[in-house]
Amino acid sequence: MQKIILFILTTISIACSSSQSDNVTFDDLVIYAPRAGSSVTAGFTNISNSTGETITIDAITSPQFNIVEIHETIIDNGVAKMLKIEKLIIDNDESVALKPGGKHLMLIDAKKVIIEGEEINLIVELSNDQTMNLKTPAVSRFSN
Amino acid sequence: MLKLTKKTVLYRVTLLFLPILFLGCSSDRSVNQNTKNTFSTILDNPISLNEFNLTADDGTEFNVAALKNKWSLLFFGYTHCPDVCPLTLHQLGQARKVLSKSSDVLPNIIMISVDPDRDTTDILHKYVSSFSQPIIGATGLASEIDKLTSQLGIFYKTNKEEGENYSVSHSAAVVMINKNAEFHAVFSAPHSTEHFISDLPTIMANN
Repeated sequence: MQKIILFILTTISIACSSSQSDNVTFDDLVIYAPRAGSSVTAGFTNISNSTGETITIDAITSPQFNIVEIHETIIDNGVAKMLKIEKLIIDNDESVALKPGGKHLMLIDAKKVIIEGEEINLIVELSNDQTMNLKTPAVSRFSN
Repeated sequence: MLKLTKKTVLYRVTLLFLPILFLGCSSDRSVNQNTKNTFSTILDNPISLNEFNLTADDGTEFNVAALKNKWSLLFFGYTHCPDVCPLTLHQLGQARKVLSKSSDVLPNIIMISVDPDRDTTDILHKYVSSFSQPIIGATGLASEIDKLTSQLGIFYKTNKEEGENYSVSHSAAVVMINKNAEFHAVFSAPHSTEHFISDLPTIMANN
């Protein structure tokens, strides 16, 4: 009986740390395979928070990349710059769009060549101690 | 397109202030609001380029002579740029693809890497070859890159204080060079495929 209870509790625990959270969602997650000659790429998604409190994304890691950060592209007087966002804040009942030309996931230093279709995993640590595991296949960008 | 009306005698002054002109203009101001579907600024008197010596991604010399006898669209970026650079090169390629359906006069698309420490010609070759439309890559010594960027009002700064995976801040403008290897026009960011499709045929047809 104890083993069954332990199994159920473990299952619940795993489910709570997965991307299936009802409180924080990463919709339309897209991660591009790095272009040939580059080990860096971008990812985009729409993050929504309905936890009842403001949350921050404290850290993102990936087994496929040595570094994952959130950056923002800005065009300042005609000059393109990338600014690192240390902690992305998402107010309750708000969404933040990571999209081309704006905020984006910056995946740096791929550990190996990543091809289209290869699964990319992201581990997202939130300020409410929740951990989300996201995965999506790498897609080709601008190959047409 | 905005036709500059400055007299020829003022061009030396204009040249001196070109970097400020380009870097100081906001993207909204760079678009002529009085004429629809026009997104570029044409120099009334194109400026001849002084010599510079870079290497193209196929190993050939990339200099003033390499720019002659064809229209060229120059974008200055780097391969570790995840967003603006591939997006702009894609937009240029898509515009070229659309224009190829109605014209044989097509501009070369050229990416000058302003990150020569990381972007060797081999890496640059792989990078530009990953786009579906033909793109020429070129880079070289920083001193030679500077010879070109300083003539075009292009700014760039390698942010090496960020560490190994540093970013490079760079002008997002697309510079148009005419068949005489002269600085002819500039498209200011933000770009779109439609902006290029709108203006390129007129610019090339009138010259």
